[in-house]
Amino acid sequence: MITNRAQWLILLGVAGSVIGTLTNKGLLAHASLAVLAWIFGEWLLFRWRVELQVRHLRCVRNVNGSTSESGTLWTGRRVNVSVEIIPDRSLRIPFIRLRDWQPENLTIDRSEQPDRAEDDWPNEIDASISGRTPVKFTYACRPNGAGMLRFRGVCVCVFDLHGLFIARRFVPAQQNFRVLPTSVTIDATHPLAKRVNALPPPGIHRLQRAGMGSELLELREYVPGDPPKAIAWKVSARRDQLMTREYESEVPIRTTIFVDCSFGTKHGAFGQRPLDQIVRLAASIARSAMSVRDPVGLVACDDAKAQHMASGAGDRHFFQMLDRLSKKAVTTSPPPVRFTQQLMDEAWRVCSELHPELLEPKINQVPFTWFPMRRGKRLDRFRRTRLAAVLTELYSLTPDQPQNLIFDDVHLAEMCQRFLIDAGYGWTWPVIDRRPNELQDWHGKFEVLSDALTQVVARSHDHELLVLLVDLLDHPDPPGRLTAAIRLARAHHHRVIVICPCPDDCRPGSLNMTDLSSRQSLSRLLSHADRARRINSAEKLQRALRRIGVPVAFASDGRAVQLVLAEAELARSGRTSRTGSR
Amino acid sequence: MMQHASDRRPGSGSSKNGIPSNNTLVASTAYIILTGLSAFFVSLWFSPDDSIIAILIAVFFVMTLGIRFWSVALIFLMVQVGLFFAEPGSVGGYSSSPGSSLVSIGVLSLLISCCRYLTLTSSPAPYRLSNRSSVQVAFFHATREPRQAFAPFGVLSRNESTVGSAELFTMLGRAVIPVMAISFMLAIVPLDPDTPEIARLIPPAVRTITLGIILLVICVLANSLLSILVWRKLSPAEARIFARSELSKWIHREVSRVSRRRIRFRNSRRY
Repeated sequence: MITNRAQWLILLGVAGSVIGTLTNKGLLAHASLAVLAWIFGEWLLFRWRVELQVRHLRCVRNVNGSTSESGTLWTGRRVNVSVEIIPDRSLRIPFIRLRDWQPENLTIDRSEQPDRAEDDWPNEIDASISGRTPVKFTYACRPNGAGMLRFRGVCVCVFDLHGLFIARRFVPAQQNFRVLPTSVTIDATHPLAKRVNALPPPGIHRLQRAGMGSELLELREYVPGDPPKAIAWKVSARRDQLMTREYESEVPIRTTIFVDCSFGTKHGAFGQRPLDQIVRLAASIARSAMSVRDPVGLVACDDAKAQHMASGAGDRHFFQMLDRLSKKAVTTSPPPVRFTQQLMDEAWRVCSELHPELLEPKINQVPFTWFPMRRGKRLDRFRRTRLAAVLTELYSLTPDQPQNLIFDDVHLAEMCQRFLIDAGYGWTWPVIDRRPNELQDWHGKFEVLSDALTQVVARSHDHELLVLLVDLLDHPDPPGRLTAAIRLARAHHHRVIVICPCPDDCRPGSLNMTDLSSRQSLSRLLSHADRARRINSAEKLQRALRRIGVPVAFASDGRAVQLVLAEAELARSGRTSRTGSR
Repeated sequence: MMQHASDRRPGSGSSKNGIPSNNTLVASTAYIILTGLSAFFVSLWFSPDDSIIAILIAVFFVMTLGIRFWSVALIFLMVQVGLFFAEPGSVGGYSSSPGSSLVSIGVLSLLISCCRYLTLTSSPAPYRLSNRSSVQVAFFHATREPRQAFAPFGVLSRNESTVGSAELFTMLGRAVIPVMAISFMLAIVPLDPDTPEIARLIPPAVRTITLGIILLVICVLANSLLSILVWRKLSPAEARIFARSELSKWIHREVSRVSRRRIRFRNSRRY
C-alpha cells in the first residue's frame, strides 16, 4: 500500500519535473526526476520483497515447551510462548514487524519483563531478516476464561525504510488448546474433633435416618414385621415389651451441579463473563466434594437443551467434568443479532489481520458504481464488498452470495458473527450491547432448567445436594415453573442452593450513594445505576427464594463456595438446620 | 545468530511517553549528521549569489531537528521552490551537468535522511488516514501520548534497534543510483530538431512529452514483469477471489438488482 508520504512526493516530483522541463530549470527537473526515480526504485524493491520473499517465511510456535497442534491450558495460569520466524531460503527484508496474533481469550503477562516499556507489546518485535537467520521472540500470557484458545499465526507488517510503502501479511501457525477452568482452593471445613468411633469408608456418610448402617440410631417399640434379629432382647427383658434396634443409614451424598450455559451468560469479555464465574465455581465445588469422595454430577443447561453427566468421583471424572465445562464455555451458535456498524468494524479488523492478502485491492476488486456518492458511505460500501467476497471464499458460499451479503444486513450480520466466533472472538463483546439486545429476557433456559431439575429429582435418592449456578439477577421473581421444581426438590429432602454470577458485590448496603454527586460522568452514573439495580434485584431474589427454603449466594462473594460446603455438611449429617434439629 | 526480542530492545525503551530515548537519538543523529553534510555540500556548490539555497537548506535542517513529525513532502516542496527561484532558466534547454547531478544527490540525501528519521520517530504522515484521524493523531503527538495510543490508527514507528550499521551506506547508494539513472536517461532522450516544427510545440514541451513516454514505458514494463511473477505465485483462495471479483465487475448491476428485489420481497412478506 502506498502511503500518504509517497503520494505527496510523487505528486511534487511530477509537478517539479514538468515545470522544470517546461521552464528550462534544469536543476529543478533533474532533482524532481531523481526523486521520482528513487521512489520507483523503492517501489520495485518493496514489491519484490513483499510478493516474492515474504511467502518464504515460516512460523514455529512453542507453547509451554511443546509445538504440538493441540493441548490443554488452564485459566489464569502462566503460559510461556516462544515464536520463531524461519526463512525457508535466503531473504533480505530490512524492516519487518512481527506480532503473534493474540486471541481475545488471552492476556499478555508483563510481570516477567518489568524493564519493558508500557507501550511495548511483548508479543511483537521489530526485526530485519537477513539470509536464513531466524527471528525469535518470547512472551508470557494467561488464558482468561475456560473454553478454546486458538493461536492462528503471526501478523507480518513489511515496511520500506522511508515510510513510503506498507504491506500486511499473515504467516499461519495454528494451534488449538482447550482451556480448563482453574478451581479455587478452599479451606477444609470438616471438623477435626473425633465424633464417632467407627469411621465410614470414604464417600460414605452417616445419615441420621433409619437405615441399614452399623451405628445405632435409636430403640423403638416392636412393630409386627420387624426382623427378629433387630430385636434388642436385653432391653426388651428389662422393659417387659419387645423393643427393636434402629440403625443409621450410610449413604453417599451426591452433589449435582446445574450450570447455566445460556447465551445470556456468555456476554462480555473472556474472563469477565458470567459463565466464567459459573464455571470456576462449578469446578471449585466439584473439587471440594470429590476431595471427600462424594460423587458429583453435572447438568449443563443452555437455552435449548440440558446435557446430563452422571455422578462419579475420582480424578478421571473430575477432568471429564472440566472438559465438559470448557466445551460448554465455547460460543457455538449464538442467536441472530442485528447488524451494527460495530459488528462490521470488528469483522473488518479481524479479517484484515487474519487475511490481509485476500483484502488487497488488486486481488479483491470492487466494481465501480456512482452511488453512494458521499465519501464515508462509499468507503463503507467498499469495505462491505471486500468483506463479502472474503466471507464467500472462507465459507464456500454460492457465487451470488457476495451481492446478497452487500445488501442483506441480516445475512451479513450472521456471517460476521460466524467469522468472529471462528476466529476465537466472543460474539458479544464488544460487538453488541447486552441490554438493547434483550438477552436478559430469554426465557428458554428456565424451561430447560426446570425440566432438568425435575428429572434429576425423579432419579435421585433423598438428601442430595443440588447446586444451581444460574444467572437469575435479571429475574428477581423466578418463573413459576422453576419455583415449582425447586419446591419438588425440597419436598424430597434435597438441599438446594442457588448461586448467581455477579460482576461486583451485590449484597444489600454495599453501594454507597453518598459519594455520588451530580458532577460524575454520565458513564459512571449509568454504571452506578446499573449496580443499584443489581443490588435491588439480588435482595428481591434472596427474599423470594428464602420463602421456599433455598439459600442464595453470589459469585462475587468469596463465601459462595463456603455456603455450598456448609449445606453439603448439613446434608451429610441429615440435620435440617445448623442448630441441630433433625 | 538468532535474534531475540529481549536482546533487540534495550531496557531504556524507545519512545515511552513520546520522549525519544538515548538510542533513538543516537540512531537519528547519524541520519541528521549525514543530512547536514549533504546540505553543506549542496550549499557550497552554489555561488555566493545563490546563498538563498544554503539558507533554505539550513532552515529545513533545523526544522527537521526541531519538529519531529514534519512532513517530508513540505520540505521537498520548499526545496523545489528554492530551486525554481534560484536557477535562471536557460533558453537552450538544460544539460545534465555534473553540477546538477551533485545537487540532485544532495536533495535526495536530504529527503532520504528525513524519511528515515521520521520513520524512527513515529510520524503520522506515512500512513493513510482520514482527515478526522489525522487530526486525532496530530493531537496525540502534541500531547506526547505513548506509542500504544497510535495503534488504532495504524501509525507505527520503527524500533531503533532494527537500525543496522550498513544502512548509511545503502542510503548513499539509494541517493546516487537514481541520479545516475536520470542523468543517463536525460542524456539519451532523443531530441530531433525537426520535431518541434512538425508538432508545432516548443522544444521543452517535446522533451517533457518524450521523457514522460519513456518513464511510462519503463513503469509499465516493470509492473508487468512483476505482476506476471506475482500472478504465478497466487494462492488458490486469492485466485478464486480475483476471478469472482472480475466476474462481478461485469454483472454486478444485474445481480445486485436481483438481490435487492429479493430482499425487498422478503421484508415485505415478513411484515
